Amino acid sequence: MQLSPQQLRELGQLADEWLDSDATTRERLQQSARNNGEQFAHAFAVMVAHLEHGVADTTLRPIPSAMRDAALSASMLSSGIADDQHASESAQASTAFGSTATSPERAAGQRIGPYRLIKELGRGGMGVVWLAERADGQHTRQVALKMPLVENLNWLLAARFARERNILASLEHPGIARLYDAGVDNHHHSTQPYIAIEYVQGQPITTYVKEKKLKPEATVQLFTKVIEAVAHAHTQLIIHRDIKPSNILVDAKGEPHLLDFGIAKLLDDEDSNAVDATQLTKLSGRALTLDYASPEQVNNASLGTASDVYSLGVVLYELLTGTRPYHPKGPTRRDLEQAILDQDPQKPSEQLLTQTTGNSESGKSARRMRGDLDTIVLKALRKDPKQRYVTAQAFADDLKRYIGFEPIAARPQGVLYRVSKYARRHRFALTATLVGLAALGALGGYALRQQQQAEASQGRAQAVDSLLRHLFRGMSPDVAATRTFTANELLDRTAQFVDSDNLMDATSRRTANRTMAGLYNEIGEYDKALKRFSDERADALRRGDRERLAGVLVQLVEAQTNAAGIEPAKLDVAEKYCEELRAVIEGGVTGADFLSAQLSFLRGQIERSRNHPTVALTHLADAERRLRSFDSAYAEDLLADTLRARGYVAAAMGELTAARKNFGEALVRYRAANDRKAVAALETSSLLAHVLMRQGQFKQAIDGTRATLKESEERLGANHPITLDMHNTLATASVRVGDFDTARNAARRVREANGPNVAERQRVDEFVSARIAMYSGDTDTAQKGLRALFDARPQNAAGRSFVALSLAEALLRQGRLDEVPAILDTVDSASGNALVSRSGRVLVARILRALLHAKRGEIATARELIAPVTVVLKEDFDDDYYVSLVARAYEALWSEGNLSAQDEAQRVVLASRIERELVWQHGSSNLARWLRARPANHKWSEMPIVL
Amino acid sequence: MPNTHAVTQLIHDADAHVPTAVNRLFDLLYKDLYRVARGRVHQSGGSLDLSATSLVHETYERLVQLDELKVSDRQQFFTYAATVMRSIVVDMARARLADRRGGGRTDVPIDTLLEGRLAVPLDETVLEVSDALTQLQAVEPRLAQVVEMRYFAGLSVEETAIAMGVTTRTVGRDWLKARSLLAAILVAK
Repeated sequence: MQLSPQQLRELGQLADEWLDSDATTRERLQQSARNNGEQFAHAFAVMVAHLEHGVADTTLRPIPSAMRDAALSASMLSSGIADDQHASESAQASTAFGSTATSPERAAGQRIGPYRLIKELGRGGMGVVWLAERADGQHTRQVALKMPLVENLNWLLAARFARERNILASLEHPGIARLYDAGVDNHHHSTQPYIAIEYVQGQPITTYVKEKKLKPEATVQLFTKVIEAVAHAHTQLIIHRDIKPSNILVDAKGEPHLLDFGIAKLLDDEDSNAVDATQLTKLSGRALTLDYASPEQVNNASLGTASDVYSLGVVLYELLTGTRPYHPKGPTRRDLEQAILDQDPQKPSEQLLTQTTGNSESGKSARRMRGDLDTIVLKALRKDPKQRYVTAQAFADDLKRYIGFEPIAARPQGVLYRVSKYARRHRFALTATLVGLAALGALGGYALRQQQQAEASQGRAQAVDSLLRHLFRGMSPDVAATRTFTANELLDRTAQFVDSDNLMDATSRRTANRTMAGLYNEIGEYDKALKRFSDERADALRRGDRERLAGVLVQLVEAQTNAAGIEPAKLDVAEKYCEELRAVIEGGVTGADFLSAQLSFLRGQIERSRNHPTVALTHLADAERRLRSFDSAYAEDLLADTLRARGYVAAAMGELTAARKNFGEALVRYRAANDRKAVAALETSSLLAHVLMRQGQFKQAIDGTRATLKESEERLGANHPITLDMHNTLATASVRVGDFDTARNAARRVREANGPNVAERQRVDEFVSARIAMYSGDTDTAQKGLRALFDARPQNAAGRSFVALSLAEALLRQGRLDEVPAILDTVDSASGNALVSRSGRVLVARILRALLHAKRGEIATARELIAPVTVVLKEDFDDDYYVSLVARAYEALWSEGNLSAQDEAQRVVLASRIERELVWQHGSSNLARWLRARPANHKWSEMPIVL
Repeated sequence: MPNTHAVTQLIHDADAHVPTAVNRLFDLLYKDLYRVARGRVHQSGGSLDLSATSLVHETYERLVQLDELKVSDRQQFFTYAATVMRSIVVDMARARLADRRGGGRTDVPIDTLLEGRLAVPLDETVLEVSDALTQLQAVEPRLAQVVEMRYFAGLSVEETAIAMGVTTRTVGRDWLKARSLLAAILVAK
């Protein structure tokens, strides 16, 4: 509710009276404002606060100068250090135009808020730190005063700053440098936010451990305190993001203190991408920081608590062994990044042994570490965040168990993992024999003669080739799919002809054979494809034609990987051929560079099929890097395929931001390839829409789908799975933004399409109808429909979780709380038990569970469930979606009347933000759209939860 | 370069309540100021630096140098220019917001992100303030005008006082009152 003009007028009069009056009158004014309703009283209080404290120079600073300062701060941040010349220019500019900007230069003795500066302790891209003490005589305590270089604070920003300060203030832990005070200094006609932090005198933990010559057990004991400090922060939803020895000081009493907490967050303001960029800039300014960065930080992926666990692991590794876990190939940043992403760290005990041969003390240490301590450290250092300790606390607990001689929770990497690692490390030995074999045929002039002959009959070979291709060109997979028999038959007949035609020379037959094999592969006749490719491989080996062998191997691996969808064991065969291809490449072959790229792509696809996402990503990233240096249409296509594969993997890992980026770039490339990749483009845009939906970006998902739907209908047909998938997306996303008509129409299209899976498509329609009923207020109908769908779905069927979540939401709305847990259990069991999984399904399930507990009055449990979810939501999801879900959760807690003061404050902030969306005429967010479309009797607290 | 004769004439016409004069004056100033603003953005490599010399000042100086503005015109000029500046600032903020919200842009260079980080709250604040100001305008037009001049056009207290024909003290008090009321409007729910 915004203030009415009448209320505003009254406020204006009260402002005048207030400014002209004395203390007693003011009390009377306050009293009368209070009698005017809660909302008015609140507005009055805010107004008076501003009149009183004369936030004069900070509130609504003239925009032109604020913009200039923003640009200036940006340039300072990106240059990594505060630039004196900039600063003085800024000062000059401000005097010239009478603005309120100021130079950030400080001098000893100067006052900032209640503090007097003593000496500068350090400075960096983010700001300066001074040793300071309170100047108002209240305390004599010395503090470290941090002043970020952000000057364009207006009062709205100041409010956000204050909220961040509250979060920091909640970090009360002996292992974390205490936050004493935070505020905004308004002296000197400037706006300088500051935070005063406990001034810790001590030395970096690495130095301390080295100087005291701490034994492994003592080191672990000390470090456990550090981890517990980080764990404490994690419970407060704060990720450190910059853990390194210089941020961990040990004081004279031997107690560790964690510093630099949440500065990035403090400066961030809810934009996780910006944080990453800031971090990166910071990192590039001081390259050493990368030493402790996690793989996801290097990849610029979204960060969770597991990133801190990783950095802690690196520090512990260094404390135990005196060296960091990587051995970069060279001195550049690139080399280090590569090492972080690819190198598997040596066991700490082995590391210690290799570097200090003959030192008995180290030998003893190494023996102590062997086994469990190795396992614990390596678990923290896994490349895949999900495989690390889920929380810092779990990390600390395992170390305590180790010290107490109890069995630890971490398990060494699985046997399979180690075997594959072994194979990779010893690849060279394994493949040497293969190289030998392949080289045999290449000896002498034999290959050369073959080559000449091949050229002679090239014309005819190409003619046959293009004839075959022509037969199938322009036939969409849809047509091919519905006419599988025809295509199959046609191919079989051609095969017969090729096999028996005596007129055809050997080279032409081989070319035709390969083309047919490729076509068999495309229509899914993998066995026939594989047989022909195998023949070709044998032939190429026999003739020692390395180029052809390499080409055939690529196709063979592709076909094997495809076939593995039906018969997983084929992946091992595919892997075998990969090794063979590798041997060919290493033995020297024309186009080796490109073949290497293809090999990486194929390996990526194999690992993806094996459900080894992290390994797959490594291969695909390698393929991508190599492919980017080529300039051919084929390389472009393969690059697009690689990016799409990366997108798949990222989406499967729940790395939505990365998936979106990959699919987006793949799409751009497919589009640039026009007809050649038209089907891939359509498929990719439907994948992209799914990712957008999972991120809560329903509007973009709808827009993107609308833009491609027509093309899909024209090119593939109205009944093609991709077209139907787009209608499905349109239906789901439209429900979410409150556009029920579009949702109904799209769902009907899915239901009424011609083709297989009738029952499945009917369920799509029923599901959409049920959700529309729920959000239109008819929860009973919705619940019945959803229950029927839930019961009808076979166990583990795709989409069952989605139905289960909606059903749980309906039951919550009905107040049938006892039925909810069983439903949610089915979602959890289908998704594994990842605590901080990025899967939207798991997040939503947790929120629903939290609401269930809230409704039962178990607020503590509810809050505990929500906490990790909000972190993930904030990082990987659309801002609107974050606000709506979290606000929704708080609203539910609130409606049970059981909130802590902090929760209440958070609820008010979010609620006012949502209400402002309504007031905001130009609001184009999903939130605003939903609120406008919602049934009249709905409150925002009725917003849908399930994606 | 605007037709300065037209500017002066339009100011007079607008003062004399000639129909459509205000609209035409607005269009003219908008085009000129916006062009200068865009030029600045371009020159500074994408970051928005509107105030190395304030845009309004720049246009104003040019008109004065051409001896097109008499003292009495100047007051009117600042009044109109402030309103125009508000539109420009709001439009730019809205465009940037739309740009950020619209999907498709997947790979953003770090500079843009940094600029975005610093400008994010600014853009949202600008729009919020502008909407709140519309509410205030309906009730306290003079306060709203002070905000337009100070906040959106970046005029100093003195310049605002001259343009509005009041004392600097009045401007100071109005400015404080206006901001306090805007804060109340913005937090009201």
